[in-house]
Amino acid sequence: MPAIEARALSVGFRTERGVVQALSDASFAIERGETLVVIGESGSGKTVLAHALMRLLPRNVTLAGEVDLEGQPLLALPEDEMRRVRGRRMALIPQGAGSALNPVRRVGGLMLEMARVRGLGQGEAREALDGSLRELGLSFQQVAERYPHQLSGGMQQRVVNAMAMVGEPSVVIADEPTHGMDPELVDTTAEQLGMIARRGAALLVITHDLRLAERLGGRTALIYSSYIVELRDTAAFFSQPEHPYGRALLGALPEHGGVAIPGVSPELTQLPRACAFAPRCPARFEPCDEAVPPMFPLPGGGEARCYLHA
Amino acid sequence: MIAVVGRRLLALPLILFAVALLVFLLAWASPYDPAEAYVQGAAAGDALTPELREQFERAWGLEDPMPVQFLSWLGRLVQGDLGESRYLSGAPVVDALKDRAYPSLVLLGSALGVVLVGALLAGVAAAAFRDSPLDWLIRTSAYAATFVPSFWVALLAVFVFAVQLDWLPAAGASNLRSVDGGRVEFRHLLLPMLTLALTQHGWFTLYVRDTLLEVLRDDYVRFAEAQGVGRVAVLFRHALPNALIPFVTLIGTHIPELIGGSILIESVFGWPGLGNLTRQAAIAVDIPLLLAIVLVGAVLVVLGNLIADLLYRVIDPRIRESMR
Amino acid sequence: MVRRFGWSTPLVALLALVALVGVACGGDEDGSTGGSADNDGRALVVALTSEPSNLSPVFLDVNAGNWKIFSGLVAFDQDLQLVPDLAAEMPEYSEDGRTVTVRLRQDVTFHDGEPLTSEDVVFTWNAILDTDVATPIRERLALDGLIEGVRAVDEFTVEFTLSRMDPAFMERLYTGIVPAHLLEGEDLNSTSFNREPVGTGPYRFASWVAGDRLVFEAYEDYYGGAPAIKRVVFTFVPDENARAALMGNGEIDFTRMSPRLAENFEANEDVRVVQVPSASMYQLTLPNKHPAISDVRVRQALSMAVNREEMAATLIGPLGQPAYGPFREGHWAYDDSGHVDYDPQGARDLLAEAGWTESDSQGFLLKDGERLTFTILYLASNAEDQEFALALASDFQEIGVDARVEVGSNPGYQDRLDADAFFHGVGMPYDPEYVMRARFHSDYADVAANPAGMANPDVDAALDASRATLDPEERREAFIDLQRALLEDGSYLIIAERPTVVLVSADIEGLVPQMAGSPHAFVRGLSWNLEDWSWK
Ligand SMILES: Nc1ncnc2c1ncn2[C@@H]1O[C@H](COP(=O)(O)OP(=O)(O)OP(=O)(O)O)[C@@H](O)[C@H]1O
Ligand SMILES: [Mg+2]
Repeated sequence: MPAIEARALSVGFRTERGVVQALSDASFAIERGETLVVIGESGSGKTVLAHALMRLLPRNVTLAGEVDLEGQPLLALPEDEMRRVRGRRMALIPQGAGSALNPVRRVGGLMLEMARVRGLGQGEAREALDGSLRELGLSFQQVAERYPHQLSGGMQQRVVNAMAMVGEPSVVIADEPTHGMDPELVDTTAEQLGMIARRGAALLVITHDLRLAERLGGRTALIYSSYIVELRDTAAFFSQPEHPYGRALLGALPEHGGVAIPGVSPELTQLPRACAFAPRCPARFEPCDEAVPPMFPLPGGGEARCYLHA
Repeated sequence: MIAVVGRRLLALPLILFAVALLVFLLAWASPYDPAEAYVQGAAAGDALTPELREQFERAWGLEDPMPVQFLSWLGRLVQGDLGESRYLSGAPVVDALKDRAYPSLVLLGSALGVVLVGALLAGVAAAAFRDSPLDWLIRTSAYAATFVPSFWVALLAVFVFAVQLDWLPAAGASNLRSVDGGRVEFRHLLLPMLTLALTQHGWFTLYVRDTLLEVLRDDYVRFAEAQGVGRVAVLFRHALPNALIPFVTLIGTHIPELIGGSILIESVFGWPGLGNLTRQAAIAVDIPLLLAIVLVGAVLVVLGNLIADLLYRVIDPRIRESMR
Repeated sequence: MVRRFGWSTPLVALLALVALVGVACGGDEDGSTGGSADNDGRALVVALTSEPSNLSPVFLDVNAGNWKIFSGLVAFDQDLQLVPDLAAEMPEYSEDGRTVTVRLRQDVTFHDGEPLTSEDVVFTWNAILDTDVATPIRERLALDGLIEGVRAVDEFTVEFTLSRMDPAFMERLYTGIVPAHLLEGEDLNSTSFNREPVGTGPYRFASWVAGDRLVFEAYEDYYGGAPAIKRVVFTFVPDENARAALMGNGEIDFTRMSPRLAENFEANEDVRVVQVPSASMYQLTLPNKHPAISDVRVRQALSMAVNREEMAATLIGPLGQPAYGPFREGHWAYDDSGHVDYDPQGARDLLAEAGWTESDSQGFLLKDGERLTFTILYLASNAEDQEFALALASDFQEIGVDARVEVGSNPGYQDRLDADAFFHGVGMPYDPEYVMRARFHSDYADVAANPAGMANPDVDAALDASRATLDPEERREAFIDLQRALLEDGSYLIIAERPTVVLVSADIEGLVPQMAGSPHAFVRGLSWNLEDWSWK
């Protein structure tokens, strides 16, 4: 049984401009000890995916599909029970550590409060926090009396990361966990994320840092305009993407020639009933404009949302 | 911090000067005439003959041109002399203010306390149960409290609680038979205090509700939720402190409205405070008294804002930091 | 590690503290609200409609009374006849009417123990005549330079010299006497005496917490005998509903009330509803400068169109009385023949005679294509005034006059009296020489006292005749002429008596209403003999 599994998960936001379709038909499973890296351009729906898994969505949301945590369906769970799932069984390292820390609370109190929610005693919590902070080159002592704004961006990120690692959640979701860090810190963080996976948790890492993605290994999900368009072994993906968007994306990297993808991605309020990438796709052919392509299995394992693989 | 206080206090005389000048100009341009008001108030049906008017104005020092009057008033003020009240037949204005300050401060202070506590409770409840019937009820009554005239509420309160139910006294600040006056008794304070609080809490309640709802969308609240922090703790320990920071400033800016509201409330409840005196001074067009009251009001407003501002700096660690 | 939640805990504590300020100030509560069996030493609690600002008789209108702290040379009895007070016997005019000699009682002391002498009387009157003293009563007490001099003949005799004979002068001696020994050399406009007075009356000043209450105590050495009620507390409650609530709860013993609200107390055994005969009348002023109204026939027609009886009954209630002239029934100068029949048809005929023969599609009368139209102003301070103004307008519309109603701003309304009608209550019970001259004489046509701007030779003649004699019968006839001339002229339509109703605790004995003037705060018409009251 996978630690977490999403089936046909879709998220829309009702807004004045219409429904923003932020996540469409996402299906994947992460086993214990496995890592899933999620990449995609800004605004493609990565954070929404993370929040949807934890049901941290605002009131104007419409949610479809299923999420199972260790076989337990989450979307039908009453809010009270969901609250007990968060933190204890699923931990989130949110995007933007700076704004995730309450500005009027001292960091120490904040960390302890959240650690204790997971059932740790005062002393235990302190020790655990100090432990994970030390792995990241900080100590509890060092940050406890400070307010968030008195920490650097990298320190804030490490505090947030350390909080998520306390206790033994079965699923850890990290949204841009290396934001604002210099290369050495990125290394330590990658190391620490690897530890989490090795301890047996399912790890979902959202990142813009393709090098980090490569390094984390596991599998990679590529998102384009709310759709997961390719889901494959990370190493395989980076050596040879199968979806035209993945190819274009890697081709746009400086070391691969830096050819920008022509055109712009569609408005999420007006997604076509067809392949969302078709208008920009060099390999576009008839079926692309007729229906949204499903995920087609790839010969070497993994899936791609492209009629080329039908 | 000291610099902030210093700058504000240095500006105070300027503000007071401007306020005093404005009152003078308003009184000067107003159709209300002290001599006329005096004759009407003192002797029903009397006519104000030109000779009598001239005699009054001479006795009151009103014959000089307006700028001269203003300067001489200013000259005395600088020496700490607020002058004499014409309405109070020559009693020093300072004495009149002293007598009236205590009941007013008790009323304003306790009403403000009730407003804050009430607005916090109601605002948090409305935000916590957003869009529920409770939220609807709180919002509607807050709007109503803001727009219904406060004297009407006061009259209604008198009618219901003093006349119909006979629970609380209808007027005055202490027992008329057994007490010598100059005191404030809780039983007498309740009705005016609650009425003033009721008519003033609207903006505060709505403000608490709306900022709270806004703050509840902030990232750190979502993070706290993601960490599994309970609903109540999220509301009170994570969202509320942040919502309260701007709220503190709001208190400062609403002091003038509170003072304004107290004029009507004090008048209806025969409360022996400055609000009631303001009404009397206005009816009698007693410029020295009005000036003094307005100055006291201006000082209260400036101090209130200053305190709110300082409090704001103290409670928001981001600003507190930058002041060290 | 100490749990820290920043500043939120102290803030909540602070709020709670502020909220509790009131509790901390709450005094001990004995909850006594009267009605107890033991009325010994019970204070008489009076709720005034407004707070006085000055208690000195130098500044006070006769209508306001002497607050029972002062006494005058003469006083009014229940029938408003003059009786000696500080004077040993009733003073008399000299042969030519220009000298009045007053002999004082010799047993009178001020509240500080000093005896009253003629010096005090001279000081008081000179103060009133002193143009450096800003008193509104100078003009009325010494109208047109009436008083030439006041001098002490000996320690207990005072002589007033007048510039002309004035039959109403004697009444002016009602003015309270202030102590010269305390006021000599003081600036009377601002002396603390004005708010901490010392007089010779039955009550002495005890304390005054501004805005809260004014307290008097019985003066045990009062020459008329110590009052039975030992303590009087005045409180100030402008709102009538609040006063009614205080009365209903037994927290006060005495207050003025509108007839309508007073009706609620008819069944209350602890409260007496007392109607004080009032000299105040509801009156509509018709502007003589208005082109149509300047025609006396139009004013007559308007007078005939008013259904006074119905208005009094419906707008005032059972206590309502219609009225036709400025004197009240029971006054010595009242003309019982003065009456106007309600006659709308007669009014229409009269208007036709005056040239208002055509009418427009809405039924309003026209002359040379113009409507007969005017506005009735009233002041918002009295709720009844609006209802009267509306009733009047509707009666006028009945006969084809386009009358409208508008609330006037004070003092702005005064600038509109040339063109608009004005409705208000006015009148005082004292010597008509005092009151009527300024109200109706053409000498006053340009000041607010005679707002209609009436200049009627018959009215002037009657007023002049009334002051030319000391003979009561001749004066009565002159005032009857005045009433007839006023009715003829129609510039002032008197509509109804304006009742003064007072609620008094049923525990009080000794009430005998006197005719009162325009309703003053302490309702002098009822409190005039306060020193004779006692608790049951
Ligand atoms: N509460 C919301 N209401 C409406 N639209 C929303 C809401 N939250 C997110 N969106 C929209 O959903 C889309 C996906 O947002 P998301 O935050 O998941 O992007 P992302 O892939 O995480 O981008 P980035 O890399 O910049 O973090 C965006 O177009 C965003 O505007
Ligand atoms: Mg994101």
